[in-house]
Amino acid sequence: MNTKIGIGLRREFVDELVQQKQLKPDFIELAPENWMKMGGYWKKKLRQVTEKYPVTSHGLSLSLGSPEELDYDFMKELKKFLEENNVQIFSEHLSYTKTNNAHIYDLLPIPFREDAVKHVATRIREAQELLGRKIAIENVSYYTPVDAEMDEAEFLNGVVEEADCNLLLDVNNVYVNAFNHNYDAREFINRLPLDKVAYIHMAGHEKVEPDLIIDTHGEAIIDPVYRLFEYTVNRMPEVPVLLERDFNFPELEELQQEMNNLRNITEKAWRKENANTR
Amino acid sequence: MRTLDNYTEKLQHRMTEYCRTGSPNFLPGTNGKGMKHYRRLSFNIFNNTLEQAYPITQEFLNEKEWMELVDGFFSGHDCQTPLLWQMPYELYTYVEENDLKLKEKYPFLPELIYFEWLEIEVHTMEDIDITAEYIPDKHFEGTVPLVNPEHRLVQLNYPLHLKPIKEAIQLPGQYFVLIFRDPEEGNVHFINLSVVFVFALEQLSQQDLTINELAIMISEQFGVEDTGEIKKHLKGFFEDLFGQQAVLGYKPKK
Ligand SMILES: [Fe+2]
Repeated sequence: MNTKIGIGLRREFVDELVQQKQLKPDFIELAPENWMKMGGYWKKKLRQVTEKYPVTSHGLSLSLGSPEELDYDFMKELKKFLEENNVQIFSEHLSYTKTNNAHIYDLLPIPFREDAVKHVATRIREAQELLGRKIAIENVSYYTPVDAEMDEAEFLNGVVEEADCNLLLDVNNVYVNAFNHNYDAREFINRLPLDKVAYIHMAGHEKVEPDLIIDTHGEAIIDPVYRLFEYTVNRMPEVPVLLERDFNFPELEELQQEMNNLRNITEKAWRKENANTR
Repeated sequence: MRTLDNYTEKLQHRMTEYCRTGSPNFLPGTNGKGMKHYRRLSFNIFNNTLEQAYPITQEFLNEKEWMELVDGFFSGHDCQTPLLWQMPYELYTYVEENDLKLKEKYPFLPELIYFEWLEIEVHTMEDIDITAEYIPDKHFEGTVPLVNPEHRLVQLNYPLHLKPIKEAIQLPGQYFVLIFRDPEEGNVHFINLSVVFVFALEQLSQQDLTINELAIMISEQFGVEDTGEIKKHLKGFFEDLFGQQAVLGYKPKK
């Protein structure tokens, strides 16, 4: 079986995905918050796409790292949406977008602290129970630590283990964080529970200053990130891989080419693995 | 059961406060450069989303005024919706409910924002299934017109649906607008209405009425004697709405 290579659904290329002229992903990923409670034109488009492709979902506003309670009304709506759209994997960010009952819609860095590990893990468990499914938690890009007691890998490991959740491994984010915070990306990958990875994100980023990269999803994937991806997939079992591109869209062939690149890398790694286990 | 220490909670509150206000807020173990990016990125999310939702307002205000509005909203209003696309509606309620200097200068500002939101609202409102049986045709003799349920009927104090903003604000008055979504393409359309037709649509939304019955009600309400003339106008009105898909057809009168 071929590895599933998908792309993040954007309104800019919805029609193309329906017509399948240049983009031919195996699945799509959508942010529920961008489609929930919507009728009319966009609901029609969403239906056309979800009828055509298997769907994974990448949440934005669950705010699993918030100090306060989960938003139970929202959770109910979300569960309904995931069921209606036959979503196979649901993922969210290891971050928070809300405090003091106010959303700010940006992914903020949870302080890497002991109590935060316990707290976030408790909330993830609760969210998993409410949604009736496991959540794949994504390692996010962060631009500053906040009074950290441990490093990112320890924090991430702690949460995944205590919450008994899955991992959405964003390889580009590992690269970005390793660059911005001066650590070794491969060593970071080695420390992760790779058997818990539900799927992988790949994306481009932007170097805004000589010593700072921002995770924009607005550029093509760069070679060092492909190499980190190759390193990663050689160390783990086969999972789906998703290309994220959120703006500054190139010609669609270029996006398809990026998906092809990802496929070539995974084929080398995972065909070999399959042959070994036969 | 509480699992988070007050200290960590305070760190998180301070972080969001800093993003929202930009005012220095001591946070141990952070780097200033990264913090600034969070402030910039989160502000941009608000600014870009609001710019997209309110292009007329943004264009009308000068840059300083627009920034003042966005900044005041971002720092002063606690956004409640988890859905970013619904966040711009909260700008409307914020402007409506607060004493803003901008409102003294531009008393029509809340209405302008509301008007722009209406287009988004009608474009995205959840689908309304029509349970009644109807015939998609314009035979309105003795039948009940079926109004496209995906609509809003509103009253404006400025003709924002008819004129460019700078002209519209010179023409305060009473304006009625039917805003609806066509069922095929999902596009939003605006129709200017006279008060008589607003009355007719409001009556129809409450009960099934034929054009004859509506004509009698209008004659009583507005003191017009010639019901034949009213009927003629109503028929033309509903035929026109049918042509634009603001009316989807007719139901037989039970
Ligand atoms: Fe990602």
